[in-house]
Amino acid sequence: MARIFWIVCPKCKMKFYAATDDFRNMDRKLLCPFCDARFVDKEADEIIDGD
Amino acid sequence: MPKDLRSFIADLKQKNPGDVVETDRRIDPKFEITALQRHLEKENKSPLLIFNKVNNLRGELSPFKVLTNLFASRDKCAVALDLDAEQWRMETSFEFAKRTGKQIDPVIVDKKEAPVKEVIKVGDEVDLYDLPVLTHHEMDGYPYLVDAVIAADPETGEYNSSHHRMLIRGKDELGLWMSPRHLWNYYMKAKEKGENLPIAHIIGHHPSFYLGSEALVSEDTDEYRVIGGILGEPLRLVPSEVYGEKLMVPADAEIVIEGEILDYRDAEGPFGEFTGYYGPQRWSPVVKVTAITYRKNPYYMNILVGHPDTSILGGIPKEAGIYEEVKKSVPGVQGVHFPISGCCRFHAYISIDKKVDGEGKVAGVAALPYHDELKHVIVVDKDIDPFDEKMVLWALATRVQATEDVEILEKLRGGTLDPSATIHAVGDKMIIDATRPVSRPFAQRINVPQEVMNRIKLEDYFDLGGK
Repeated sequence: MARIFWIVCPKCKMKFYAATDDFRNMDRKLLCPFCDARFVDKEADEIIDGD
Repeated sequence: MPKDLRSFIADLKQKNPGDVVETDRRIDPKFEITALQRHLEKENKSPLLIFNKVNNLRGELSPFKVLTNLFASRDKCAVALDLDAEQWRMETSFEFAKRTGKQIDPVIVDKKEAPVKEVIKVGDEVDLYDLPVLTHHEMDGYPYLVDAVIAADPETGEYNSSHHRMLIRGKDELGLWMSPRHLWNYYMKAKEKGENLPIAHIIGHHPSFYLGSEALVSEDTDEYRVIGGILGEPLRLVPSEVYGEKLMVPADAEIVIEGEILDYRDAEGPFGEFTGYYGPQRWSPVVKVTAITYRKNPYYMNILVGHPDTSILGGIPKEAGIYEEVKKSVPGVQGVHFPISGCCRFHAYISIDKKVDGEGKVAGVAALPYHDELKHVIVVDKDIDPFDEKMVLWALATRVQATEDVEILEKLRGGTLDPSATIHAVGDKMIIDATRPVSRPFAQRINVPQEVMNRIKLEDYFDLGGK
């Protein structure tokens, strides 16, 4: 599977993960599956990369 | 009457009456149907489920019934291939392989003869929220279509049918995740021509349609012909509403969702995958939905991903293929099974009538290239039923010394959704030779004399009352 990183949504504080190659350090907006919030990774409450 | 989902339900009711259960209690497609399937799994039960009253995505009572667990047990697949339910072991795998070799050209029918055209919604009438699309697991977040997606090769016109998750983004918009296989190649060809690729999501048909979609064939094979072979009759096709003869769709499907893959991407996922884990959120192509057509009194068929419903669907089509590959090198191969414990993709159990030492590992080496997702092959003797996992693990416990019988091959091409992989689409493979040696004496299995087994009957001594 692609390398992943965990993100904490800045709006609802729920956690989900995304493919590193698709979103990390890019301007692509993530989509929170719990509250529909859209944000780039830098705007997340917390990021867990595991690197 | 052509084979379709309804003819299969009738067949199953006749051949295995207790295997179809229905409810009129109203239910919501967000997690609730999956919850019931999970409860049943914990009790090792997997009947075909029909929900007659389901909410649509606006919370209103939908005119669509929901049907699921079509592939949740092998005996249903046996019935789908016109076998008896009891013939669910290698008989089902061999029948599938036999039919894969007998491809049948599809036939084109008039719109008036196509049940899937009984109700037609195009343009502004299209609304995916009319459907009772399931949200399966908590981190999915959104409802997902999960059945088969068909497309025509932009260069040759040959058809591909494959299973893909599709996120409901809006009333007429979907997100589509593709592994880099046949559909992906068609999408890239269309992109190179500056065109969107027309596709159709086929919801609800005879299970042979979906089994045929899992057949491993070359990209230049028209999969509508393969599906016809699995059905045992020509697949009936009708021109799609928006794309006409450029995209032919199954006339007897319950629902067809037509659309085109745009040259635009957006966030899609996470989604609970066949592995039993969530695949991550991806930057995936977007699909514009252009038409929805369906039958009157339609069934919305859902294949529950990450559970036996999708595992078995993916496993059966591979078993006989691997059997044939292994047979080229190990003529004594007896059976091949992809167990649910390996998601019917990651593990294969192969039994052989071993004649010489080394054949166990040869069988493993022959099997591994068949599909990139296959990781671990356990080879057993013919006294071990590969469909009996307890016995396979007993052979593993009693016939294997790791330094002699385990081979590890590093960094081969792997599946794209294996959560243990540290490099995308690359993984290690393992062969475990759990066969007894031929060239030296080995312990004998314990047994009771056959004459005594035949003479002494349980019912002569105990009243077990069905326990």
